[in-house]
Amino acid sequence: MTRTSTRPIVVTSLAGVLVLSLSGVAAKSQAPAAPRASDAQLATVKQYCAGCHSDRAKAGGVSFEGLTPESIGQHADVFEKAVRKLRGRVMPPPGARQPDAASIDALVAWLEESLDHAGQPRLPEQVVLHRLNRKEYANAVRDLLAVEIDATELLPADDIAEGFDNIATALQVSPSFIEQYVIAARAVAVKAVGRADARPGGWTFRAGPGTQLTHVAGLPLGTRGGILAKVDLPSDGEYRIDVADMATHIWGNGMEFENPLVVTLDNKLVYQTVIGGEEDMKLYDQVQNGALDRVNARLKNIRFTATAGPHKIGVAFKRRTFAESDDELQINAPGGGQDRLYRVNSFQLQGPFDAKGLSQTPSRERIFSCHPSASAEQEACAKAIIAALARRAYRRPVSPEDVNELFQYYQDGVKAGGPSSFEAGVRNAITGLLASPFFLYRGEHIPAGLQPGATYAINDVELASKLSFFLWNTIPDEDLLQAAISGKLSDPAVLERQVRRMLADPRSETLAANFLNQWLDMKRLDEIVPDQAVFPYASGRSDPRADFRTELTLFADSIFREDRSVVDLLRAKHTYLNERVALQYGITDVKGERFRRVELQQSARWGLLGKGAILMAAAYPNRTSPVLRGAFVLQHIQGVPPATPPPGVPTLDEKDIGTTKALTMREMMAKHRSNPTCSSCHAVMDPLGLALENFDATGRWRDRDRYAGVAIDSSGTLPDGTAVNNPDDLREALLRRPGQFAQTFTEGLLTYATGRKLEPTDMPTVRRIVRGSAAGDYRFSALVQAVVRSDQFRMRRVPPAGAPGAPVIEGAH
Amino acid sequence: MYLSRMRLSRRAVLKGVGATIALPLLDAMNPAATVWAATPAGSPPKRFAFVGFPHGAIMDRWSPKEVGASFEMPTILEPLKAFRDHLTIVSGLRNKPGETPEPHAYIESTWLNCVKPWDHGVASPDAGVTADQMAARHIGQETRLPSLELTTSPTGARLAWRTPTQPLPQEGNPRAVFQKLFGQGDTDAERAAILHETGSILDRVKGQAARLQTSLGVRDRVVVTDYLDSVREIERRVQMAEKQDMTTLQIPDAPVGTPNDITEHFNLMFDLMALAFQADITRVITFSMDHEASMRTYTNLGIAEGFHPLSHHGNNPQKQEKLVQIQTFHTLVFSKFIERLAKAQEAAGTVLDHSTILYGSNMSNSDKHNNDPLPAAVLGHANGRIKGGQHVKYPQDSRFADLLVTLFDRNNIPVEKIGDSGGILSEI
Repeated sequence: MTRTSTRPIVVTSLAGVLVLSLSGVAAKSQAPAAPRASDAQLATVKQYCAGCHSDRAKAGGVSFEGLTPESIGQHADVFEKAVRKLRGRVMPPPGARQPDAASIDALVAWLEESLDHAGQPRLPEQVVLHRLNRKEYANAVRDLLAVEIDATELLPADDIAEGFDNIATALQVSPSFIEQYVIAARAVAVKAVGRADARPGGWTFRAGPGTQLTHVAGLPLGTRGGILAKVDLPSDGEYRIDVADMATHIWGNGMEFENPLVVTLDNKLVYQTVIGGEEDMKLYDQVQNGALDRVNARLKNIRFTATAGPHKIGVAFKRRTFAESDDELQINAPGGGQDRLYRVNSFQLQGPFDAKGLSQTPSRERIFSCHPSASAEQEACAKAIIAALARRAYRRPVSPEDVNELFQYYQDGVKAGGPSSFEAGVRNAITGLLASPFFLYRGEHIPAGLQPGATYAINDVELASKLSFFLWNTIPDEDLLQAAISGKLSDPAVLERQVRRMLADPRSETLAANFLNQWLDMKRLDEIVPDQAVFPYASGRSDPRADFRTELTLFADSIFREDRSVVDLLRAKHTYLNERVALQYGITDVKGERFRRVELQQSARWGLLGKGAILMAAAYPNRTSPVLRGAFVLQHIQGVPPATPPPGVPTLDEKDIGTTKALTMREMMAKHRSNPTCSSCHAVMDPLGLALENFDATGRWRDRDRYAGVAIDSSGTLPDGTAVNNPDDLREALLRRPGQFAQTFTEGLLTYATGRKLEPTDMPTVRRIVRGSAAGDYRFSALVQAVVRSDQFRMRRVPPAGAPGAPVIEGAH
Repeated sequence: MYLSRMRLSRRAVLKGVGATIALPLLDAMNPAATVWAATPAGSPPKRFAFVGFPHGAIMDRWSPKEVGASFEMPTILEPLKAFRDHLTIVSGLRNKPGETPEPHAYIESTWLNCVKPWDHGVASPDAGVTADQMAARHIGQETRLPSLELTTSPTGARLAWRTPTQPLPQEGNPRAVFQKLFGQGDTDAERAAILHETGSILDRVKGQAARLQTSLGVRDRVVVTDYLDSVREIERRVQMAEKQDMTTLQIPDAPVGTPNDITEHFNLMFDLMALAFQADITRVITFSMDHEASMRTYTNLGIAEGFHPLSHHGNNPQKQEKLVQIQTFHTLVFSKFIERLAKAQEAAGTVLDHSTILYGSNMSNSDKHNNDPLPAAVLGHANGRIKGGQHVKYPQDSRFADLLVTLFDRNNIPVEKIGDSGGILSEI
């Protein structure tokens, strides 16, 4: 059935709205017996809902007049929405008469039971051909070939749907994508195998954000600033570094001090020099124009020899004692010390000059399982290498046809090859492997002989892929693949054991880094660049966002890894801090850039709602937004995405307010309360966001609004009358119904695991999973295991035989 | 459906948004023949280049004293004397919207759109889109890259705005630019090999996709069909590219990286720009020679003061002289670009004949930070529509945006207004 979407919740009768009349719907043959005790619930609906949702008023395009128990299951999408709004307490809207909490709970339980028993088909038809997204591609390449690549450089960005980048229907291809995909395959193969005859290339590395005056993690202790570059050198040989000019003009700042610069290769000193100091000052005075070139020449043409493969190159300054400086002892940045010193802004690496061959690298070791000496052995060895790689890349047993296809690539490469033709052949075969649709796509095949509409379980090999991309965001490892190929994976005990093993493995960190960050919409954090005028100490070089992200990931990972209740995400008292984040939280005894676990004394900081990443993402660059924060709580914790605002709402423009006194956020949102069209949503959202108003837009605690000059007033009342005056009140109010958060979490998890949007018909499964884990306090692993066991994850329905317009292609084109 | 120009342009636009992704030499060699067939008979492709430099010019050494065709070549433009008849010096224009309280921040970004930064999107939905991007909308669809944005100082502000809110990133590393233009492969032989290899990959991939399709549901087969369509489209282009005769154009080996020497860096960038035009990979280029408030020192000219402090000359004659030297040096390296275009023959003239190149700055007197009168010189004949060989001077408060609209008009690009423009400068 159709119904209008994104309408304000309270609306008077509109012409042309499709009325959903549910009276007198004939019971279909598959409807079960009506659930028990429906009279009280029907009375609740009549008293509190049918006033607006009547045939005459048709609020939101829905009418409940004449509702019968049988009609609930037949209109699952309407009632799933209704249930969602009731659970989130956004319906009945603020201002309307509210039933007491027990009545709402009873109504919700009754509706959910009806929906669960409705006997609707549970598995929607779906596209199961699922393309690897670029993160998965990079991870797969890493696990297959032991080579790290930057997928953002090689492949275009993936489209996002439902908040995630792994939704099958959004992952399409285009000619441009195919082109880049083929190029990427070639580039990765070259990187993995290396080239003994590599021509010189160049890479530029720039200093990251953050001050260049403190120690950069990974560089030797005792250095300050600088750049740490991780690079994959293409072959053995001589390389050269040119550091960006530092003596940029006569009589620049800082030249009066000696700045010792060091260049390291894998933490070994390769070069050192000094910029500045008395000698250089004399040079400027006496030689003048030629002096700059002479000083900068020390930064150029720094040569060293290195082997092929991964290396760390560092360019940094040695730290000087503050005693030598006339500057402030401490500038206002974490770890800040001397000012007016030189910075390493960038350097360029070029090479190899004189490529001298290829030493063993981790990727070559992985690939070359045999080293044929005689040419007679080469073909057999090539086939062995191909078969081993293809099995893991295609994630299934390989057929002779698969191997022969790739062997043709090998032969092409040998023909073109030159002196190391065997390696050229293998490199070409790997290019073909990575370009193959068998690598790019995960398919789930329909067993022969099934009728349209029948359901079937996906086979073990397909299940292994699905499982490893869910839990690890990469291809299955040998253990999992072997269990699948030998047909054991569908055994429930084996499956459960594999899930447990995979959760315990470090690779499950992707659930925190990838799933949770996407589920909470943390990409918004990339868009919020703190305003330097308003937050000089939390912007530009002192921007805390990257560190906040790390904190959030470490925090979530600890909850998952310790297999705690997912509700602990809201109430855990610990977090992970480094000096930067700690300072933002007002904690002064955490030093250094390393993240370490800390128990938080301030209870307002406990859980997700005290985390800087979330407080910043749900704000603007220059001010807080209780609306954004309230919407965040509604959507990600209550699972009720707020309705879109009506068109034409003017933005809050401080300039237009026209008073001489700066207003607090609460005052600026006064219209939300006075206008009934606005307050229907905002009376729910605003108190949730205002409760967090003591956290400014960079996550820092404040007691006063520094522009309005008054103390922050974070008091508010939820529609059901609960007072919520500060973050602790808010957290406690949310924790009163932990199942709600567990359900929201499970919905996200199921979406991510299945790679598709959830339909109303999936909700009974979600509820079953949540109910089943309630006794165990919603432990994380219990939810994961239940998702993996679910029909949504493991079963498919045979689609209809031939949709009109869809070509059926048999065999080769 | 995949063979139409529309498909090509969407893909080209996808690539145009600043992604430094290496591309094989596919459509680069789709030049002359195919393209001209699509345009009205006998009209060669139009080219636009906008080359900007910071800190204005010492105006009495930039603007000739005489108006008209017989003017004495001013000092700063002396290196362009061989191309006098392609040169139109335009004096007296003012970029009023470019005058902001924060010149260092806004000079570059207001040069080619003549709209104040906070007025983007206000007067019209396109207010703030720069002239080069407007040109690219009309002539950028027929080339692989709709436009190219370059610089030698990557940290500077951006000249080109594709939409009122989206400035385009500028590439400064010649190697990255080369790879963007010509794809992977450091030498000609490598490029040809890669092209050939790509063809065989695509062919085999189609066979695999067909096998993938068996025993999939109908909707999945549609996914594979889309995949195959995309593969076939690239295959077609590869086949076309392989058939092209590439001997007419000399493509050098890929540069290794960014040279340390500034002259070499400029020469390399201008060479790449000329190649890009000759190979018809793009027809719209912006090049920011340096950023405002740059501290670069031109030690090759024996100048050790930073450019920015020097630009605050305070009317000191020695400082002004040094500035003239720097400005002349800029013209010198720029003239190499013009020279290459003048030597590049194509049907019905040289590339320079068919080009419109604006060389200038959004600042006039760097000591005063003003935008009036702006140094502006136009090179090229725009297919015979720009006279060249003259110095035209306009009265006080003539609008710089009028020059931009005039350049559109001379190239038959139907953009009638940009920024605060009011009409066309018919003398040009």
